[in-house]
Amino acid sequence: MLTERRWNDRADITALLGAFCFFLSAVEYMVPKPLPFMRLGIANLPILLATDLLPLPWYLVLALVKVIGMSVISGSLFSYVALFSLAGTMTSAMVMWLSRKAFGDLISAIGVSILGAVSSNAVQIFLARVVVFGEAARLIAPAFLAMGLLTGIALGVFAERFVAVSLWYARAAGAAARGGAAARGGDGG
Amino acid sequence: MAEQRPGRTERLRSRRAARRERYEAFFDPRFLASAGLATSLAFLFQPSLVVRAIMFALFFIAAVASGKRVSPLATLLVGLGIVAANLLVPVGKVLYHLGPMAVTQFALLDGLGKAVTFEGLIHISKASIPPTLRLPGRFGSIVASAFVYYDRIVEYRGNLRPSSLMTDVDALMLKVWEEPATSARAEPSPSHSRLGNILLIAVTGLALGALVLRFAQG
Repeated sequence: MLTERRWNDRADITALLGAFCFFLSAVEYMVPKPLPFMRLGIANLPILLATDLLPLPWYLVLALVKVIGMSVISGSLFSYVALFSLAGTMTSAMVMWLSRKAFGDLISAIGVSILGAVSSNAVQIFLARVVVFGEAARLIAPAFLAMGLLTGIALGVFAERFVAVSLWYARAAGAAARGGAAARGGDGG
Repeated sequence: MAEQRPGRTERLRSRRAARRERYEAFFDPRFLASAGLATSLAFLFQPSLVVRAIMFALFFIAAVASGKRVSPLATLLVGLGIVAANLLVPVGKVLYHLGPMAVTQFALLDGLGKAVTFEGLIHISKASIPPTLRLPGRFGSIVASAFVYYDRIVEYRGNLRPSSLMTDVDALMLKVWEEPATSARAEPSPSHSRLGNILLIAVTGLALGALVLRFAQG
C-alpha cells in the first residue's frame, strides 16, 4: 500500500524516474547507431515527465542520476561519451524546465520535448566539433538535428498520452502540487 | 551449419560472463574506479601519440578481460570514421591523394590522435567501472535506490503490449514502486584480492610515470 508520505518523498520519486531512465537507456543501447554518443534520446522521457513533478534542485539531481547511472551501466563514466551525455542531458533538462515554467500551459509536452531534444543535439554537435570531428561536424549537424526533432515529437506525444491516463503520474503530480502550494504558503507566512 | 551458430554465441557469452565474474571478484570496485580515473587522466594528457596508442591497446585488452561487451569491428569503424571526418578539412602537408581527397599530414595525425583518445577512454572506462560500483553520500544512495528500482523493472513479468502501452507502463510503475527501494540492495562483498590492488597501483603508477617522463623530456 502506498502511503501519502511516499508520494511526498522527492528522493524516492527521483530514484524511480532515474531507474526508468536507465531502463530506456538500455532499450536505446540495442538500437544501432553510427557513433557511441549519437542517441535517440528516449531516456529523457522521465526527465520530461518530471518537469511538473519535481522542484528544480531534485529535477537536476534526476538529470545527474541519469547521466551517472547510465555511465556506470554502460561503463563509459570516464569517456567522452559521458561528457556528451552530461552536456546533452543537463542542457535539455534546463531548456525543458525553463520552457515549462516560462510558458506553463501555453506549451504542450510536445513543444517542451522538441526544445529539449534539439538543444541537447545542438550542444552535442558543438562538442563533437571541439572533441572529435573538427570542422567536419557541420556535415552531420542537419541529420542529427532532424533526428532530435523527430524523437522530440515522438517523446512529446508519448508523454502527453501517458500523463492523460497514468494513475501513478496523477498521484505524484497531486502530491507535487500540494507540496508546491505548502511551500508557497510557508514562504508567504 | 545454421544450428551451430546459437551454440557458439552461447559459448562466447558464457565465457564473457565467467571473465566478468573473475574480474569483479579480483578488484575492489572503488579502488578499480579510482585507478581508472587516474589512468584516464594520464592517458588524456599524454602528448605522445605512440604512447597513447600503446595505452589504447592495453585498455582494449583490459576491457576484454573485464568481460564487458567489446567489439573490435565497431572500434575500428568508429576510429576510421573519426579519422575520415578529420581528413575532410585538409590541414598541413599533402601526403597523397585518395581519389578527389587530399590526405594531409596534420589532419591525419590529428584524426588519429582523436580516434585513439576517444576509443581509449571508452575502453579504460569499461575496464574500470564495474556495475557493482557504489557511490558515496546522499547522491550515491539515490543512485543505489535507482538501481534497485531498475532491477525490479528488468525482472517485471507483466505485459507491455503496444495496444495498451500507456496503461501497461503505468501498471509497471505502480508495481515497481510498491515497496521503497532503500537498503534493499546488498553491499558488494569486501573480500577482494590484495594482489588486485597492487596491480592497480602498478598500472596507475606506470601511466602517470609515462606522463611525467614525457613532460620532463619537454
